[in-house]
Parts: sequence; C-alpha cells; structure tokens
Amino acid sequence: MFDKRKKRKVCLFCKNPSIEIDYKTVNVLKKFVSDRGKILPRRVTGACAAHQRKISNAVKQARNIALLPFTTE
Amino acid sequence: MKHYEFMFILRTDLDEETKTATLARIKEVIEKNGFSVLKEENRGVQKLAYEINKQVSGNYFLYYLDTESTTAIKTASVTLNILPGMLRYIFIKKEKHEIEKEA
Repeated sequence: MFDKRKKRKVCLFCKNPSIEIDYKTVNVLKKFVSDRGKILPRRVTGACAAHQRKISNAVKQARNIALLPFTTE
Repeated sequence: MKHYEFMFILRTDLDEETKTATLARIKEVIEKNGFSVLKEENRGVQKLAYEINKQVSGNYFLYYLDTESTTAIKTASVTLNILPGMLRYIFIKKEKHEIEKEA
C-alpha cells in the first residue's frame, strides 16, 4: 500500500530569508509561474500567504516591464 | 521622502548620438519634476518577454530615485509617454533602496 499523504511543503522564503522577492530577480520568479506564464497557486508553490502575495505582485510588475511574459503562444 | 526605482527600456536600433541625447532628455525630465537621481545603472541589452512595437530586444536601464513630491510621477509621465526611442518605463515604489543596504 502506498502512502497517500504527501509531505507538506515549506515556504521557500520563510526557510531562506536571504532570498528576496523582487520584480528584477527573474530567475526566482520563474519558479512561481507555469510554463504558459501563469502564476502558480499556493497549493503548488507551498508559499505562505504573505510571501505568495509578494510573489504575485512581483510577477505582475515584471510582466509590465517585459521581463516575464503575460502569456506564451 | 519616498524611494522609487525607475526602470525603462530603450530601442536597440538607436545610434550612439540619439541614445545619449535620449538619456540626457530623460534625466532632465525626471530631475525637473522633483526627483533626485541616486544611481544610474545600465543593465544592457536583453531579450523582451514579448514584442513591443515590433521590437524583440531592448536596452534596460535602472535609476534609483528619491522624491518629496507627491505628483512627480504623474507630471513626469506626461513627457515620458511621448519620448521617441522609449519602449516602456515603470516606477516601482520601494521601502528602502537596495544601494543603501549595501552601504
């Protein structure tokens, strides 16, 4: 029998306070968008509410200045 | 005192002369509208995530600004909107400048 319960993810930014969420750090933000450019939900990213909010704001700012795509074809 | 990061993208097909003239004009506009420029940064030519005005790449610049004025962005945008050679710009409000943290 396999165990259905998955290990709960811990928020990446609570674990590593040195990683900053900023619209310029595209490499970090890329982990939190799907391959179509959509922002991933909290149940996938495991981020806490406060950090998820910061991520989503940063992604939206990065989209405005063409660092991240709104969508891919 | 409010801290802002001002990021903008210039076209890559500008010649050196127009580029320096545009940069000088941008600086003149933001300083006239009550911003003080703390640091200028040329982030180089990067590929855009999507096409803007048929351009696939752009030259990114990042300025760190301080201002006391409450209407500075609004008044500066009037001129920035009609600048030729400028693809996109954005003002981002920051609690604290990253350059201050380093110092």
